[in-house]
Parts: sequence; C-alpha cells; structure tokens
Amino acid sequence: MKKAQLIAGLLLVGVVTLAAVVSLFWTPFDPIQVVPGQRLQPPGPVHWLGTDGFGIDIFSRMLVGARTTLLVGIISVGLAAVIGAPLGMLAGQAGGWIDDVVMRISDVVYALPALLLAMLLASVFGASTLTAMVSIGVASIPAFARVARAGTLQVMAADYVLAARASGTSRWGIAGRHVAPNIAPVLGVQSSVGFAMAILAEAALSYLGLATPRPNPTWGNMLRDAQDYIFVAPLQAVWPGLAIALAVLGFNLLGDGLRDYLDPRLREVA
Amino acid sequence: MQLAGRILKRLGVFVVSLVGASVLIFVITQALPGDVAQTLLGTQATPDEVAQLRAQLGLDRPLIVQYLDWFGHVLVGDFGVSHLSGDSVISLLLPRLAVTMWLVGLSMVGSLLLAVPAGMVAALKRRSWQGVLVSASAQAGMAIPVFWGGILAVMVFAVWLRWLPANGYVPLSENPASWARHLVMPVVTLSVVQAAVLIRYVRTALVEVLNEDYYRTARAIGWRPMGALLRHGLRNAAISLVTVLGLQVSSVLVGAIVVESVFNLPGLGSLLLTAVAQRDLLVVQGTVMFLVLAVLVISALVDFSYVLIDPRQRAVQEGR
Amino acid sequence: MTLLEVCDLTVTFGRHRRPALDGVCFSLDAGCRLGVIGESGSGKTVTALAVMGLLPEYARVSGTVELAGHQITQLSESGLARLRGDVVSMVFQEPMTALDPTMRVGRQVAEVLRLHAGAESGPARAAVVRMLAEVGLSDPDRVADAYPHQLSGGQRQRVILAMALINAPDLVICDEPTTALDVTVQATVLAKLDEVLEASGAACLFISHDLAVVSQVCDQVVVMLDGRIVETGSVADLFANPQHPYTKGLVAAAQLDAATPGQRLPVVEDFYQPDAGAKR
Repeated sequence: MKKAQLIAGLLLVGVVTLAAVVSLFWTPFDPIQVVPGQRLQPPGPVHWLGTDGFGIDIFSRMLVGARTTLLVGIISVGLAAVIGAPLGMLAGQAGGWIDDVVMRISDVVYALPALLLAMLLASVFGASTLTAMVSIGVASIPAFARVARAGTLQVMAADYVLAARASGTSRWGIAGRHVAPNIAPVLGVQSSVGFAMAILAEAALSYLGLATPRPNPTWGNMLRDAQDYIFVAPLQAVWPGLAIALAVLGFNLLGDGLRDYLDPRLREVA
Repeated sequence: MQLAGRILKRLGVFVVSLVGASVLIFVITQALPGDVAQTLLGTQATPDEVAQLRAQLGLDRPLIVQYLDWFGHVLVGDFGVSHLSGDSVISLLLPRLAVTMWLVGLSMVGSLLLAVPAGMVAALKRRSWQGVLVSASAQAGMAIPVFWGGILAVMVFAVWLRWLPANGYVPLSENPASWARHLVMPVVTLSVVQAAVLIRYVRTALVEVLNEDYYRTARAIGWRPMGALLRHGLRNAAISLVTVLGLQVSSVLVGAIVVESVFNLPGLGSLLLTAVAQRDLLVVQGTVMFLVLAVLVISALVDFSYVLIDPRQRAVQEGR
Repeated sequence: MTLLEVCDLTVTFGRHRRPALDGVCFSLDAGCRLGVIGESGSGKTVTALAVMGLLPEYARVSGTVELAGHQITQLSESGLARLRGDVVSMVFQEPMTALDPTMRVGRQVAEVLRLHAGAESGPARAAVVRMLAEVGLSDPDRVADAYPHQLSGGQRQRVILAMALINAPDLVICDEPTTALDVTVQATVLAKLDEVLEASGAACLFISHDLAVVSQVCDQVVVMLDGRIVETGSVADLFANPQHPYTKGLVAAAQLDAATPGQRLPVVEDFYQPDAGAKR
C-alpha cells in the first residue's frame, strides 16, 4: 500500500519531468506563434488537445508549461532549502537567543504568504517568472527551517550524539557527521511536499497574472485564457488543471511515500 | 502564571511578526530600482517635478524616518494614499472588505463543517474502506488548485446545469437571496479545498484521542464509538486543532483572493490585482499591510481560544 | 447463581502468532469476588476488555463469554453499549488520565446515569453528589464542580469508582485500580472499594499483579501466565499450598513478613524462570 504510493508518486513526477525534457527539443507545434485560422479547434488527430483562442496547439503549450512548473519548483524549493535548512540546523544546535531570533524571523516570513509577497514584488519590478520564484522560495523558508530545527533537536538528543559530545567531538564535527546525514531524509520529504506547494502557488500566481507573463505558456495562465472561452470550449479549462492536480498529487504522494519508507515506525502504525 | 506567560509570549510573537512584516513590506517597496517618485510620474517628468513629488512624499528623508512615519500611520489606521486617484487606501478598502470577509468567514466555517465529520470517519474507520476513502479524497482535494476547482464548478453549475450565476456579486443588504446565490460557489469551492488540508489534522488529533484513557472510559460507561468521540473527543482534539486553525487563516485569505478573481467578486483581491496591474505601489503596500495585520490579529485570537476550550488553562486564572 | 462464565476464551491480535489469551476458563457467581493475578502481558487486561466487549476490532476472538445471560462475543455494538456502565462497569488503572480533562467530573458521573436511565439533570445531580459522598469524598459538592486536574490521584480514583458504581452494576471490573496511587492512598481506596462493593452486593473481577493487594479484596484467585490460567483456588489455599512455581514466587514475594531480616527479599524469578516456562 505504502510502496504503491511511492511508485505512483514517482510515476507522476516522472511523466511531468519527461514532458518538460521533451519540450526542450520538440513540440508538435509552435507554442507561442498565433495562428488566426486555427482558433478553438476541438481535440483531434492533428491538435491532440485542440487549440486555444489564439489558434495555438494546447498540447504544445502544456509541454512547455511543464518546463516552467518544474523550473519554478526547483529554484524556489532550492532557495528555501539552501537558506532554511542551515538556519534551522543552526537554531537547533545553538539554542538560546540564536534559536529565538531564527524562529522569530521565520514567524515574520510566515505572516507574509507567497501571494502577498508576489504582489509586492510584481508591483515594484513587474510580474515575471523570477518574482514568482523569489516569492514562493522566500515564503517556503520557514517550513524548511522548522523541519531542520526539529530534526536537529532530535538528533542532538540521541545517545550516540551525547556519546560523541562526551568524547570531545566539536559542535561542527557533530553537525557534519551526525546531524546533516540524519536530517537529510526529512529534508528530502519536505522538499517533495514543498515542491507540491510550490506548483500550486506558481499556478495560482500565473493564473492571477503575477508570474510568467504571456505569451509564454504556464498551466496557470492557460487556465486564465481558457476561462474566457468556458461557454464555447469548456474542455480547454480541463487539461491544464488536470496537469497541475496530477503533478501536485505526484509530489505529495512521493513525499508521503518517502516519509513512510524512511520511518518504519510509522509504517507499522498505519 | 503559566497562562499569563503563554499569553505574553504569544503577544510577543504577534508584535515581532507585525514589526518584522512591516519592515519587510517597506523594504521591498523601497527596493524599487531608481526612484519611487520617478516611477510614479513616468519617464516624461521633468527633474523639478520629480524633486517636488519627492519632497511631497517625504522621500528626501532618511529611510528609517520614512519607515517610522509610515508604520506610525499604519498603527492608527492610515494605510497611505493612492497616487493615481488620490483616494486613501482605507477608503478604497472599506467598501470591498465585506465581500472578502464573507468569503473568508463562511469558508472557514464551511471547511470545518466538512473536515470535522470527515476526519471523524477517517479516524474511527481508519482500518476499513470508509477511512481509506476519506483519506484518499483528502489527498486528491489537496492537489486541486482552488481556481481550477472554481472553474470546474462554473462549468458544471453555471454553464451546464445553469443553476447558479457564473460570477459577480450582489450586496447582502440589496438582495439576500441573490447575495447567497452569488456566494454559494465561491464559498463551497474554497471550503472544499481548505477542508482537504484540514482533514489530515483532524484525523491525527482524533486518532490521538482514540488512544486516550478517557476515551476508553467513555466507551466503558456505555458510549458507542461515535458518541464517545463527539462527547469527549472533539473538545479535546480542538485544543490541538486551534493552533492549526490559527495558521490556516492566512491560507484561507490567500485562497479567497484567488477565488475572488475566478468569480469576479469585488473584494480586496480585485483591489490588489488592479493596483498591481496599474503599478499603484502605495495601494499595494497599504493593502498588503492591512491584510497582514488582519491575519496576525485573527490568528492570535484563534490561538487564544484554547483558553476557552481547555479548563486546565482557565484554572490558573481562578487562582489555583 | 453464575453471573459470568468465561469458557475457552482465546484472543489473538493482528498478525501475532502467539495468542494473548489461550483457552481461558473461569466463572464468577453473583456477588462474589475473583482476583486475577499475573504480570504485565499475562493477559489480565485482555480478559477484562473481553468481558466488557471492548477488544479492538482487529482482535480475533474465539470461545464464549456469558455475562448475566448475554453472549458478549455475539452481541452487536449497540447491545454491548447498553450493558456497559449498567450491568458491567470498569475501574481503570490510570486515575490521572481516565477522566476527560475538559469536563467537570460531576457531569462525567451524571453521564453514566443519563446514558442508561435517561435521568433528568436535577435528580441526577443529587444522585451524583450522594454517590461521590458514598465513595468517601469529603466535599462531594465541590468535587462535582471540579475539573479532573483540580483533584488528587486518590480523589480521581474515587470519582472513577463512583462512575463504576452509580448504576448499581452486577459486575465491577477493577483493572489495577490502585497501582498508580501512593501506598498510603492505596490502602484507604482499597478499604473503601471493599466497603462499597459489600454495600452494593456487586460481583467483582479484581485484576492486579500484586497478590497482597488481591488478598485484601478477594477470596478466590486465578493466576495467569502467558495468556493461560495456571492455577485457581481460594486465597488461603494459594498462600498455604501454591502448586505452580510461578505462584510460589508470587506468594513468597507477597509474604514479606516471613523474610529473614538482613537477607535479600524473595522475588518471583527465584522460583520461576520465564524461559523454562516457554519450553515446558
């Protein structure tokens, strides 16, 4: 059952990745060029998923959209992990006022969700893929800091770490030898779950016009376009949404599966 | 003592978060390459005009002074002035506040009404198909972007069945029936998506209750599982759930802004999106600050409600 | 007249191959008291839960439990719920956690009445206060309005006792009711238990790992080991002439007076090695 989750997650994530990679080399049609004579074609043998209001092949745009989705996910989760995880480890190891400061900063960032950050950034710099990545990344820092801190505290309390400390291993020696390898799996799980959240956030931002601008396709801005034709071509509003949902489901399942796989204790309970 | 300490600590977190978030908001707005006044006036403006606006906006003062001035005004309810229309941000906010408040409030209630019974089934029947079904549905619901949920709802209930209006809003005072018809889809959409997230927390809290001795006592005096959980489980589970709810406030608000856009509701979301599109910097700044303040206050209040739920916290006040 | 008849009761949990209970048989007459003694994991608590019909759903049960004419293992959940708290009640091990921390204890006791008699809240309150006084709480009105955390362990255990007795059940199951209490409080709670059981005429299944405690309340005892009953008899016989080596150990450990001063106190392991038992 749990293994099935992991496999399903890997499969879905694999499909999205494959789509993104394929889009780098090949799409059935040009994903950007407007073709006035081909507007709103229904799905068929030529245009597999039909064409949109500009006559552009939807399947081609979906493939390129997968690329943006993954790119934003990788950069924002990477940003959050690179900043959040060391901060969390530091807080967990140092304790005292350092811990307090780090956790309070994380509270502050928590108070400013990605959407509001993105609105601020977009009104200052103009909406772009970059502003979306930065706002999602910054907003995801607290989650990584918390997970890393909790994991560090747990490791630091373990008997073998106490023994290492008693035998004179330095603080940073312990961090390198015991803490980092032991919290890596938890951070892996958090990355996967965080990736799912990042995909949802990116989709919402680009749906609202606060991320990658047209004509570059994202699943979110395709849905915004599709909404204008909801009475004449409702199917258009199905494909990108389905893609988002499956990608998010994939990363969530992967995260859950990893968690259960890494924590045999949980496996027994569930 | 213990309670006073916990309240003080929570208040401290509130103040630090508020000040920190305001600094962050201020800094981002100031990070504009070039000059706010220049951006506001556009590239055609003469240096004299720019200098004049700078002085008018107080941009020639040191940053720290500007910040303190701005934050001081925020604390007394002045969130700035739109440079495009000259209206104060608060006067732009207030007429739209009701829409967003209805949406957020009703959706929080709605998500609880969905998540609590579903979480109970998921907890009690966790070893049979009903529980697995609930958990799987929650997993699926968590993957659905709220705006796509809204679009699908429009497709089914407005385009296909023609039961409900596809978008728009009518104030409650004007026509209650029409108000309700316009709000049903947005509220249900947001509630369902939020509930999917909440179900997990409810299930976890209730499974913990099922392992408690007092639950066994309740069964031993003749409660059936559902009765024991309703009578002795929910209140105890609520103690750990309020913290989660406090954190959910901001995600419901974010969801509301997105849903407003899907259903074209004239709330704070549309105000913000219009302001972003027009690069009306001060309106964005002021409105975001207002929302952050509101979220922080509401989360703190939700967080404090554990005092009402848990008598062990109250007892301290009664002087024991 | 036989009140409780347990026959060939076998319980297995999940995928465990070794049953938690293995062919357990005993019976209890109305108004009588039976001690069940054994170490943790011997199946005492499983026996109690089986009699209450409270075994978890993943337990596999065979054999019969007949209580006051009801086949417990055959009854539906609602049928069982009607019996629990009315015909059979239970006093739990952990007074600190067995009460709902968010509800005043008076209401928790009244709930037992209301669940089974549909009592009005006015008379229920009076009955609750009377019952709380009966179990030896000196200020029953104040206790009824208190939350569990405002009471001491001994007070809470008396409240639980009141919950168990307020519907005048035919059988009260006590699962290590005094283990979590201080030794001094233990003695008074035990004395009170003895007194109220005597007064109500209820039968009692008394579960403990401590033979000395059991001997204060019960006259008949069954000794459990690894899910089986290894010895049955009156407390007096058991003390005078223990048969099973494990029982011999229990008796020696309970008779501290008999130990020679200056010598190590006897423990069960001096008489019975678990490994030897497993190979037997």
